[in-house]
Amino acid sequence: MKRVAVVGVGQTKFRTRRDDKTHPELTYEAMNKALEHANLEIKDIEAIAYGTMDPFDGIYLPERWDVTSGGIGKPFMKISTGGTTGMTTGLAAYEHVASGVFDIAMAVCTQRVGECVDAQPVLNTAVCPIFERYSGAGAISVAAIQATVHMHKYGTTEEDLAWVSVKDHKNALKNPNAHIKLDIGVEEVLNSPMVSSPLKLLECCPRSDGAVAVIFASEEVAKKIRDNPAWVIAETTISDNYYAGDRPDLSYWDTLAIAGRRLYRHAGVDNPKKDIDVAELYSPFTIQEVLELEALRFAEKGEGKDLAREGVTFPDGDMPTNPSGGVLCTNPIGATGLVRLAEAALQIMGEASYQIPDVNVSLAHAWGGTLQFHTLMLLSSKKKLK
Amino acid sequence: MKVGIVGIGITDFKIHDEPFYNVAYVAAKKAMEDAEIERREIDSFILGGYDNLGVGRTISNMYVAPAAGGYLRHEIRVSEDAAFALPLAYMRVKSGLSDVAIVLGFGHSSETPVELVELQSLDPLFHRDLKLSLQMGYAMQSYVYRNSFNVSEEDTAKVVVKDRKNALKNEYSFLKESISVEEVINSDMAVYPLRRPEIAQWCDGCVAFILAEETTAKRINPDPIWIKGLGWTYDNYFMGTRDLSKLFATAKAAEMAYGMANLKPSDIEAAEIMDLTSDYHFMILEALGFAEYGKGKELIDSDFPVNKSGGALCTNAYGSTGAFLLANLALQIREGEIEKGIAHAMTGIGQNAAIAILSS
Repeated sequence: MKRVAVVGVGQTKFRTRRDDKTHPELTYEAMNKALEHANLEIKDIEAIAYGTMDPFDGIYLPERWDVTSGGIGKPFMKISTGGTTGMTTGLAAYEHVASGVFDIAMAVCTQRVGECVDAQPVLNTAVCPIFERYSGAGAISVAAIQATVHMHKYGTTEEDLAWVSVKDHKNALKNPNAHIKLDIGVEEVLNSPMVSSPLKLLECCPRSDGAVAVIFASEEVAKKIRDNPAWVIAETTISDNYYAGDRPDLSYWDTLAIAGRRLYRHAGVDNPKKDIDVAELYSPFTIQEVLELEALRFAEKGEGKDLAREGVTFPDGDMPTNPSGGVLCTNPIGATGLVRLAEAALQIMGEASYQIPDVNVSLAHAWGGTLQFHTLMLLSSKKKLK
Repeated sequence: MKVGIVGIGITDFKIHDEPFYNVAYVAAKKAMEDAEIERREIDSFILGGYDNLGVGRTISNMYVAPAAGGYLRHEIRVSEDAAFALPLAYMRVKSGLSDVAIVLGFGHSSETPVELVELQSLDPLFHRDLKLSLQMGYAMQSYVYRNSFNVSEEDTAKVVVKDRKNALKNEYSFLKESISVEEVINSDMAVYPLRRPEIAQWCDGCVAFILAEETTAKRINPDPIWIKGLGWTYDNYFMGTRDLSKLFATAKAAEMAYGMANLKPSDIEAAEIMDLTSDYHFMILEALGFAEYGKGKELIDSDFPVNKSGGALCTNAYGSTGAFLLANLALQIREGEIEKGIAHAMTGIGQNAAIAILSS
């Protein structure tokens, strides 16, 4: 397998609506920024993996239009896997290079959730029309059930969860691309309107428009592009079964735990808390960061709730999460995973908007479906961890 | 290191009434039985097919991944035709990230009014108000092609006759009705200049392939079918910028595939091509390098085997048509009829192409 590194990252500003640009213009903006970051031109890009989740954008198969942003005549494939789309698009671009078929490939994801009246009914069309669709459950209700079960089992409080929101919102203030920028405290979170009990408005992600691009290069090429690339150490993706009702225990994200175990084994990570310096987690709802911290072994079962409150996951804590502001502050759904990967890469390069000091290893994560999929990627400033 | 196909599973291609994950399951199961391996031996599940409006289900990999056997395994979905998923599976295996992978192509067009759905793929600024359906786009290309190269109704009718004749002998094909040149020419005009039998009809079906790295492949099957060349690309979205008499994406993807395989068109012994219309049949053969531009019609009476499967004109399950053609090509190699062949797929109005060269 060829060694591969992230050598360029580009993001647009994420907003409720980006009426100033068309779908391919947003794609073009992110691609251009990534090219500028890597000091490359579009002719240098040999292949493109493009990702989006069509149902939100008011256009079906937008890749056909978006290919005009620089992909015409290049190997170009569209990836779409739900919430994990961004990460799986990054993974696909990575595989283009890891296979040795290409030396430089770009992942680009564009999403315009602002085109859609309400994302929740759209998401409900993903579940089985025979058994689960009539529940009307969108993503928020499912996360609310996760929170309720976690509270029941481990005594997690609304205040514990509010601290996750406070942390992400404070971090987003430093990110010029972040969508929601609010300087808030625990009281504001607790007093915000209830969306789906126990989750309140400030514990739920926005719906964002925007695009992101990430350039992957082989070792020989990466060395010529920059002296601080983010090397891809390991990746993994996992699928659970189709039915949300079949998840064995909503207080513990066991599929993520299995995926994490595989990732750590491939990477040679023995102690995630010690070996990983920063994590960009896909947590559109506060409770999900708690579950992710536990599944990925940054906290023991039932103890993930304490980390934000105790400051552990704040930028100056022992295990910073989402210094970009995370999904709680920016969620262009099919692009969000690639934003995680982009931000994790910037932390390795030392160029993040809210830079954590001395980052050698960073983790990027996305989940998708009705709690069905996870994709993980581990990046490092070193070519190998061990 | 080579990557080989060691198992093939094809479902019936028809209008399926049962829950569609059952159909996906059947394809995957058949491929595993064909390779004589168990689900647990497959580490990566690469799905190919459409989403939401195109299959009536948002995040379609949610139901297809478990049906294919992807429980607690790596899964990913490549959109457009499943033929685009083959390169990704190939690269995953070639990189060493996977030993044994499955590609599952799914097409469920009966769940959704495809013509209306495809109208939503038109950009809202320039094209949507034109209400340019797929078939109207096909017809524009046919009109330009026929006028550019003096292609007659008899020429294109012969394609339908030939594909239909081949489909009669293919157990998997959807449309099994023989037709004569006169019947084609006297049939209803669908979208000028295309008559009804000259445009592919929709059906449903799934196809699965099991791919393995060379050493593992030989353990599973002493005679794998090797993936020698792959090519995939897109043309410009704006039809006004294109030469509609030619298929740029097909020609470009073919160039990549021939280069990777280190082969030329004259080395290829058979082709399976996604002839969504009778004119496309000629246009694809020309773009693949089997005839000069405008002379594809000369191949209709030649010995060069094209679409022994019956082609897309007889089997077109929106999303898995290219995978169906690829599977039929692989079966011809397995049966020893040919050693090297090419399979072609495209979607939209001839905007893109995914091509694979297979060999024994």
